[in-house]
Amino acid sequence: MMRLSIVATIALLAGCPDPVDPPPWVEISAITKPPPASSASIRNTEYLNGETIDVYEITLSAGVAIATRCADSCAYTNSFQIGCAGAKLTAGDPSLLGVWPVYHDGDPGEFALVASAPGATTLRVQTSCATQDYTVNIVPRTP
Amino acid sequence: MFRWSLISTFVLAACGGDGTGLGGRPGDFGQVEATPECGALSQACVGQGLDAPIALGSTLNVAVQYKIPGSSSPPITLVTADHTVLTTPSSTQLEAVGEGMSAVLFTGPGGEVIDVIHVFVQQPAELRLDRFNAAGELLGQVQPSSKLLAGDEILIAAEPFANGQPLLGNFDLGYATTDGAVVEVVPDPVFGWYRVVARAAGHATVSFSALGIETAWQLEVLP
Repeated sequence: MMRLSIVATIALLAGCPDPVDPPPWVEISAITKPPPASSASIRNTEYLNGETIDVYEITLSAGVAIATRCADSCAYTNSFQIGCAGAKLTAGDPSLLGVWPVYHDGDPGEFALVASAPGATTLRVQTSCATQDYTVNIVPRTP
Repeated sequence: MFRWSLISTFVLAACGGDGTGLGGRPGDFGQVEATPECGALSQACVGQGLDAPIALGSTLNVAVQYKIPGSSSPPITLVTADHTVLTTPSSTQLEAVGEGMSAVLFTGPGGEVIDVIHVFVQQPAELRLDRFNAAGELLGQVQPSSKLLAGDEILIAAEPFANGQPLLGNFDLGYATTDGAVVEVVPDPVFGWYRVVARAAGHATVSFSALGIETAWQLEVLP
């Protein structure tokens, strides 16, 4: 044990990469578009100065409904499937943001996000693999 | 996470959309086709399907066709996103209560979304009177003042417009004549049709009002 700790410490000091696996992740992406004069964006990560930054922010115009598809690292690692079975999406304030399952091609990992009124809320995406919280901003639609 | 975004992009680019429309427009999934049910002479309905805004203050009944093979249509209920713009007085009827835009969800019996369409609501700026022949074919817009012969019977329909575009929707049309002995307005049994009947020689102004707009038609009836 002692020898292993010493070796690990030396490896880290030498600049070797951390042998620990990256944490599991889950995220959603839009698969439909908003109508004219409206916006709908889902930002998961962004690249800034060569680094990946977690954003996890959703912006929707009031009145817009977009369909989303869920994916998690477990499904990706196991079978390269795009999707995540058993996903559960929960809105912080259902009076602002509605979440509906989508019947489309039999894929259980698709959900409609429905922006009912302007305001700020959250969306939690959960699978057996990981959990991710999004901040959600619902903005008035451009006249 | 970047891998997922990259793969997703390739998949979407390769597969594309279904191409089937909702009332003539490509829908989000193409799994439901919806057409408006409104006045028989409505240009917006007949010519454009669901491709026009709904007039503020009107209602619209929507006929839904289920397009997914393998089963008959399940019971479908309309759900609107923004209740300050559109409400659903019944499972297949929309009511335009505020200017703006709202998504309309076509939901199945389990609360699943089968398809989505976005619908615009617009304040009408003009109430246009159009004349039709007995077969229901559009002859053209009536002039602000006209001359008729006693005994003439003109079939017309009133339709709301905004920025030159006809708007969808059913609404109550009010009508009045300054002299019923000269010109009378008779609602036709077919919804949306009105007959303007020249009874006797003289002058009369016929006015129609709906959705907060009024339009007048000055008539001279010749013997």
